[in-house]
Amino acid sequence: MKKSSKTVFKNLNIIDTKNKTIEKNDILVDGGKIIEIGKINAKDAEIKDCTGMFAAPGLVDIHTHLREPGYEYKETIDTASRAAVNGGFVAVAGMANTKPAVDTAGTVRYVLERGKDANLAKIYTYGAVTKNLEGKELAEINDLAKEGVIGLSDDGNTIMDPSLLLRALKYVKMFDLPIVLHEEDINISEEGVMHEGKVQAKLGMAGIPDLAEDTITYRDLRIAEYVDGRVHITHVSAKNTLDVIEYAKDRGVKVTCDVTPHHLLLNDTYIESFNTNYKMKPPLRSEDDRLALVDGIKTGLIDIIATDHAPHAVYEKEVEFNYAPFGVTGLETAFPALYTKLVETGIIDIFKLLELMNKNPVERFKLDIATNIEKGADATFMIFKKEDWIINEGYFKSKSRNNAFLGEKVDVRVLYTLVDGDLKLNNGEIKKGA
Amino acid sequence: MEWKRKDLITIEELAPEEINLILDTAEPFKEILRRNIKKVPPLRGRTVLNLFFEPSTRTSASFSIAAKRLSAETMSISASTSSVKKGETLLDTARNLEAMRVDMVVMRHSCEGAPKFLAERIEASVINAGDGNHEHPTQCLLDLSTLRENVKSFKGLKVLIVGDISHSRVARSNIWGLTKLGAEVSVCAPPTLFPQNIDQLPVNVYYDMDRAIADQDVIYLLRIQRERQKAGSFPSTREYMNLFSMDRDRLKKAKDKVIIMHPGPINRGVELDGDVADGKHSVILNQVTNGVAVRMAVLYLLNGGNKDEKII
Repeated sequence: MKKSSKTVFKNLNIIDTKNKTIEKNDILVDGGKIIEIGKINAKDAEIKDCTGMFAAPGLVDIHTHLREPGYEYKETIDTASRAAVNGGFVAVAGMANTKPAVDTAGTVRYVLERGKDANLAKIYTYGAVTKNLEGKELAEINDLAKEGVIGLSDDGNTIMDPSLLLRALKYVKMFDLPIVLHEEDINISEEGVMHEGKVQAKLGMAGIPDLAEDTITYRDLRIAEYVDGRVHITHVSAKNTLDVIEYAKDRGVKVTCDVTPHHLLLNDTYIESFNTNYKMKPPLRSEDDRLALVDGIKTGLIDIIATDHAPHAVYEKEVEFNYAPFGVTGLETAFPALYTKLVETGIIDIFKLLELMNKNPVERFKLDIATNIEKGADATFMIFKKEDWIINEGYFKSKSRNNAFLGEKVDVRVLYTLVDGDLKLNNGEIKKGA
Repeated sequence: MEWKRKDLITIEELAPEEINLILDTAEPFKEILRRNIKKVPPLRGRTVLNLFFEPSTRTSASFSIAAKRLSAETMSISASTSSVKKGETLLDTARNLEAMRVDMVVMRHSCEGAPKFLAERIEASVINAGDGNHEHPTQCLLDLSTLRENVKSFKGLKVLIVGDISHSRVARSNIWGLTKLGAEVSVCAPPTLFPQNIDQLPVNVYYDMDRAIADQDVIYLLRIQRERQKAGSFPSTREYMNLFSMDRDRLKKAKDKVIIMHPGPINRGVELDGDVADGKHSVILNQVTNGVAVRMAVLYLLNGGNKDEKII
C-alpha cells in the first residue's frame, strides 16, 4: 500500500547488511520507498523518535502454517499476519496442509486474496506436490505455478514413495520451483512423540530416532542429484542429517535447508516437564544435535532460519503429552529469542541472523522483498528496541499460544514493522483498521 | 525426616531418605494387617479417588483396601465408566475433581506424564499408580519393602530384571529405587526389548540369561506382553521362553538363596514356570501383601502423617 504521507524515523541505529555496519541516522519514508537516509529535517513529515532503537531489513518466514482454510479455530490468515508483523516479519509463506489442501488454483487464489485482505505482512503460499497431500498422484502443478506459488511441498506428510518423488522432481523442473521436503521416514518414527535418546530412555515414551530423518534425507538428495532437481530440506533437526546435506552440497546437489528457532535453542531435556509446548516434529533433539545446528548456521551449511509456526488451540495442546498435536507457534518469538540467545551471547552477529532470516530466504525463494535499508529501496523493514521483558500470553497476536518460549526472558522487542512504507506495526500496536 | 511432597509421581525424583521413610512407615502397617480388626483412623473424613484410565485389578484393589484400612472414603472410576468415553479432557476431569473437594487421587494412565499433568493442576495429592512406560512408584516401594524382609542390606545387593525393559514402568521405577539404595541392577532381554539408550540407565546389560543369573541375589521377572511379539520384537513365545523363561533348570544355575520376584499378573509358563512361581524362592505373594501396607504408608504420609506418631 503506497502512502503519500512522509514519515521520518529519527535517531535510529541502521543495520546496513551490505556493508555490515551500524550507523546512527534518520530514515525518510514516502510513497512506499526510502527517500533519504541521513540527518533529516522535514517539517511536513510525521516524526517517530526512535532514539536507541535499531532498524533492520524485514524478516521473512518460508515455513508458516496459516491454518486457513479449514482450521480457522487455530489461526486465520488475518491472525497469522498480525502475529507476523508483531514479530518483525514482513513476509510469510503458508504451507499447503490446509483443508482443503492448497492443491488447486482456486485455493492458491483464496489464500493470496485473504493475505491481501489482511493487508499486513506479504502472504505467499506453497502448493501441494500431490493431490490432497496423499502422496499418490501429482497435483496439477501448472495451475499452482501460474497462480504464483513459491514452491511445492506436502509438508508434514513425507513423500514415502521414492518413485513418486523422482517423478515430481523431474516434472517441476519446467516450472523452476523448489520442492520443500519434511524428512521423516514414518516407518521408523511410527508412533514416536519425542527424540529417541537419553531422556526418552528414562521417560519411556515412544521415540523418534534421528535415523528417521537422515536416512530418508540421503535417499531424497540422491534422487534430487539423479534428476538434477531443486530441493529444500526444511526444519533439519539432527547432526547426522546435516552431515548428509553437507555431503550432497559438496557433490553439487541443488539443495538448501533451514532450521527452526526451537531446534537451535532447545533440546530434549525440556520434555522432562511433559509440557506439550515442547512437542513438535521433528522433535527437539539432543544437546549435541543442537550444537551441530548452531554450528551449521555459523558455517553457512544451513541457509535459512524458518519458524514452522504451527498454531494449535489451547484445548488441543493442554492434554496428555501423547495426545497433543505436534507443533508450536514461532512468528512472534523467533527474533526476540534468537537475538537474545545467539546474538547477545556473541555466538553469531546480527548480520548473520539477518542473512538467515531475510537475505537467504529472499534469494533462495526469489521473493520480492528488500534485503537492505538503503536510499531508493522499498520501505519494508522493522525496528526493534533493546529492553528486558518476559514472553507472555498477552503479547501474542496469534490466535494460539502454544509457544516453546513462553516465560522466557528476552532482551529485544520489535516495535515497528513497515511493508512498502506502511506501518503495519506501530509502536507495538497492529495498524488500525487492519 | 518429614515427608514434604504433595504428590508421589516418580521414584527417580526421590532421595534415598524419602524412600526409606516410606519403607519405615510401612512397617507398622504390616503389623496392623495381621490383626483381626484391620482398620485404623488416620484418614477418617478423607476422600481417596481411584482414577484408572487403564484396566487394573490388583493395583486398584490394593489402593482401595489400603485407603479403607485407613478409614478413608474411597471411590473408583475406571475409563470405561468415566466421562473420558464422552470425550472429556483430562483438564476438565481435573477441574471437576477439584470442585468435588477430593483429597487424594490415585491415578493410572497409559500416557507418560499424565499424573504429573494432573498434580500440577489440582490441590489434592496425586499418587502415580502407573503412567505408560514411565514409572510405577508404589510397585517399586512394595518390592523394596518385600526385599527388606529377606535381605540384610541393599548395599551391593545384585538384582537382575528380566523382560521388556523398554515398555516397563515397573523396571524404570525399580532401577531408580534399587540403585538409590545401593543395589547393583542388571537387566536381561532380547536387544529389541531395551530402550535404544539403555546405556543411559544405571544398569548392566545382558542378552544371555544363563550368564546373567549366575551371580544374582534377586531375579525379577517382568510380564511379557503378547503385543510385543505381534510388533515383531521377538519371533515367537516359544523362542522367548527358550532364551529367557525362568524355569526349574535355569533356577539350578542361580544362587542357592536366590529370591524370585514378579509384579504380576504372571503368564505361567512364559516368563516364569509355575513351579518356580510357587516354589520356596518365590516371594511373589508377599509382594502383594506388602503392596497394601506400602500404599497405606504412602497415603498416610501424603495426608500429613508422621512416621513416629502412634496410629493405634
